[in-house]
Amino acid sequence: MTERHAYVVDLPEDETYLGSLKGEPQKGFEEIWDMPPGIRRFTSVSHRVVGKRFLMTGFVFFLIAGFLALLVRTQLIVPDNTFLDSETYNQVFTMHGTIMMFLFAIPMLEGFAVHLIPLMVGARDLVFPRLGAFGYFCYLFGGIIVLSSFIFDAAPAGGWFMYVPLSTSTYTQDLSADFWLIGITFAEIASVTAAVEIIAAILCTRAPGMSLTKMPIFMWYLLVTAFMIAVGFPPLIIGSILLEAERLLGLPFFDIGLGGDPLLWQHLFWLFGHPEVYIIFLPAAGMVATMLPTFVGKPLFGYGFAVAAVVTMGFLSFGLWAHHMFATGLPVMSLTLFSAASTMVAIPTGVQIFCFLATLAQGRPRMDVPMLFILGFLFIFVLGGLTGVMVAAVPFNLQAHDSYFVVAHLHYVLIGGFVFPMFGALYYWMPHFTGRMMSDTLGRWVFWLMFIGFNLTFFMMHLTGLRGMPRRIASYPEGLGWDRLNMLSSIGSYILAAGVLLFIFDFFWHQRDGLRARRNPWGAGTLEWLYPPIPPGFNFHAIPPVRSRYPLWDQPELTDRPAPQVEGALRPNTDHRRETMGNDPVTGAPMQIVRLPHPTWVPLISAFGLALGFGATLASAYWLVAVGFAIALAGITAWVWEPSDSGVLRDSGLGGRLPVNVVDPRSHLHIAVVGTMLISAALFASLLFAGLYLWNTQPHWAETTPPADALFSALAGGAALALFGFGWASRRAAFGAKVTPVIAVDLGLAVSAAALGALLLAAILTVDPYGSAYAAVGWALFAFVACYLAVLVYWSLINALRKAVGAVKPGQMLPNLLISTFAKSVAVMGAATALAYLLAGGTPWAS
Amino acid sequence: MGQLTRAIAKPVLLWALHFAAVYALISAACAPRALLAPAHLVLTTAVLTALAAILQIVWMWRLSSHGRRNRLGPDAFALQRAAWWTGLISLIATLANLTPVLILPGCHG
Repeated sequence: MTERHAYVVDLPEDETYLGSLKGEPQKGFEEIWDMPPGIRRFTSVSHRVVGKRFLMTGFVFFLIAGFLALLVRTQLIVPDNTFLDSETYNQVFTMHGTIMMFLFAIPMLEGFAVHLIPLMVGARDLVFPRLGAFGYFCYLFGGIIVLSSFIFDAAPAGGWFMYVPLSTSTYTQDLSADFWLIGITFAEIASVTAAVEIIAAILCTRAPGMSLTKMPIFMWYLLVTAFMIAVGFPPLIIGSILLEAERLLGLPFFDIGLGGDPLLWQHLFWLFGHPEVYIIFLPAAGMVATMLPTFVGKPLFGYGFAVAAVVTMGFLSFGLWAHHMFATGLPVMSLTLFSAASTMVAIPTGVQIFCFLATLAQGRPRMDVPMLFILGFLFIFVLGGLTGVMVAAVPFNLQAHDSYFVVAHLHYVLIGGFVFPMFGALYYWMPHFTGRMMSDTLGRWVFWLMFIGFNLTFFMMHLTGLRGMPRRIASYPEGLGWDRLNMLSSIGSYILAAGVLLFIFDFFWHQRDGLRARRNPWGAGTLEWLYPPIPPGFNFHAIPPVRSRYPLWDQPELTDRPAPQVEGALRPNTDHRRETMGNDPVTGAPMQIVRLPHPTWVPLISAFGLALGFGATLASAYWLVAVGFAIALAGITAWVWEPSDSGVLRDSGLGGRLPVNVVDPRSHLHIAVVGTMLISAALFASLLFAGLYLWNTQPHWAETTPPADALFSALAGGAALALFGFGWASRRAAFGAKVTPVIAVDLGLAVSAAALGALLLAAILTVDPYGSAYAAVGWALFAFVACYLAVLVYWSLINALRKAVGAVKPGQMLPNLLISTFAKSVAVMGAATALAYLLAGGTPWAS
Repeated sequence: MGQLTRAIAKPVLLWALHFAAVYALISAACAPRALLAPAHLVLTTAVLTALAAILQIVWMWRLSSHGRRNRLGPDAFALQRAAWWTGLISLIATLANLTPVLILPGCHG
């Protein structure tokens, strides 16, 4: 036991513990993990089920968006074509981009992550199965909202980036922009929940002994990606909320006539949009880094180099956003800064590609179908990267801006960087989904059709772009030198589509006639191939200790016997619960037993309530909005109202006992709260950025906007301090032995949070939110902090109630540790808002 | 191990802070509010860059002095290598942040 385990106090003696509070003693190990029958299938929270749902739904969206792309190419196949009218064409390319970026690429990577993480790190399930299921349903409902715009003849037509002022209610009076903003924001809940889940799962539920450097390299890629999602998505979420607030409530965030700025939207959008490219690319590169050693038969060359490359890419990618705005009139010095950063990102990318090439050079690769897709990825992505360096240069970018050259570049990066590795990964891991191998012969046809079709389609676009063809035009006159190139591009797109269709045929065919997959069919070294890939409901009878990055190559005790007989942790299954091992995030040493939830309706009900709320906003049925959010709140309350097994010592199966859900800052729940607060901080920073941006670029409006009340602002600062103090006290209480007195701390948290909210409201009441964009941002800051304060009040009251009714015993004060971190973070945001109100009057820095 | 893990994140975090600072300084000098004179922009950015670069070099030097694979063990060595290369890439990227301020005569080129 490490020193930090001393935080576990007053554990009940084993003899007095009558068993798990939610155990199913009548069921054996495999029954406990079984898929529920009939309609209760929707209650499944298993990562295998949720992961497959993400993948299947994402692939369906890929087909829809691909079909839209074919419509675009058919329209452009000949000059002056009338196949689609201009409005329909705008809708088609907007929905193509929107679906591909938001409803296909990100959810597909989430699907792979959800399905593969537990198998690869040696866990029995993801660490928050209900959150995964909830995220999936949010994604599904959000996607349906976006797609349903076609039914109402209100499909968005303003481009996948929804630029203002085109998307404001002045220029888009129908609901099309609302469908986009509400649907996409809702679907993004899945992304941010997945980020929290991925971070906590990778850091906290690895097999015994799997230190950070013994993790499969794919986990590093996913970990960095999850952090990028946590920081990268919030600017778009805030931007979307601000734009919807402008459309719905008339708040003038982007209205140039009232001190707003359309470029603010572009900043917020591309603060998300550029990292998004790397968010899509990195997991795909991680899949390549996982598959490549299998086909070469050697470990990945330069594990440390690859880790360095992926971490630096994760950071540097946030310094590139304005290279999408080179033509907007930003100062040349700013452009050069972003140009330098854009060029710099080529260095870690190059390091990574050299790791792949050096791995290839170590052996003679087997040219199986996934390997073909890996080679396709290397060829296409490197070409896309090279044109990326070209468009990073400001003078070239200004020439190529909004031309088909950029379309070619982005497809080389995204299809080369994501779609080709994704198809390779589908062939590689398909035995895990269906238990059978896909056809090698058909797979080769799929690859070559896709490779030839892709290059024919998009290589030509470099040339059409250099010949001056602008993007997003519905037709073009003949004789400009674009005719033949467009014809070839369109033919290429049909060949590409034929490859995808053949894959679909193979997918259905192999489920009936494909060879049954044997154990470890590719000869891989990673843990997900320990069991024969016939999809069971469970992962590991016993979780094996891991001593290598490639345990199936280096640990004979894992492969010299049938997988169910492999020794490891948690074999006893004393309490008939779903459970997995929890570890120290760095060393991988066993630290706790993590109890996992059983199938439940709660995620579906909560997501449905939210979907109702979001959807009813579109119909302006505000009573239904209230009903929807009430359903969601009820669902989430049922979710958190769980009996606690926290702190009880149980047999770990490793020759000792470990506590269940330990009160420890390194526990999965606390790591998840830290991840959540990282997302919250990014949301808050996005709002602060908006305020600072307007203050700096619209000084007249900032100076003439009436200031918030200074006295109430100062008092709010004091309340934030009190809240921070109660947060600190809550953390102290979490490690104490007393329960009932801590109710006072919980109530103190609730009162100080309510007081902070009331004082901030009193401070901002003097400001008219409709007076200027700057004032509206002030109100947005208040609304944001108020939401968090409301959650804090609700949560602390629930904590107090649970203690009052005896649902919490000594040693089970984990919620107090969690709310402590939450409360302190909210207090800091409240204090920053109060400070902003004090300074925003303009006097201290007035010019 | 924990220290080496943090050593991977430190240099890129410093790069991020430096990038944000340079962007903020350029915005302060070049936006309509014009808070900062161009001469001050160059001086402040150069000082910040020098400080960040020195810190990154010190971190890399300390990592190098930790020892080789046989002393560290394979786990720590892999982390050390990752941290050192992260430091090097971050150092180059930090210096790159300075270039626009150095090479351009003013906000508008």
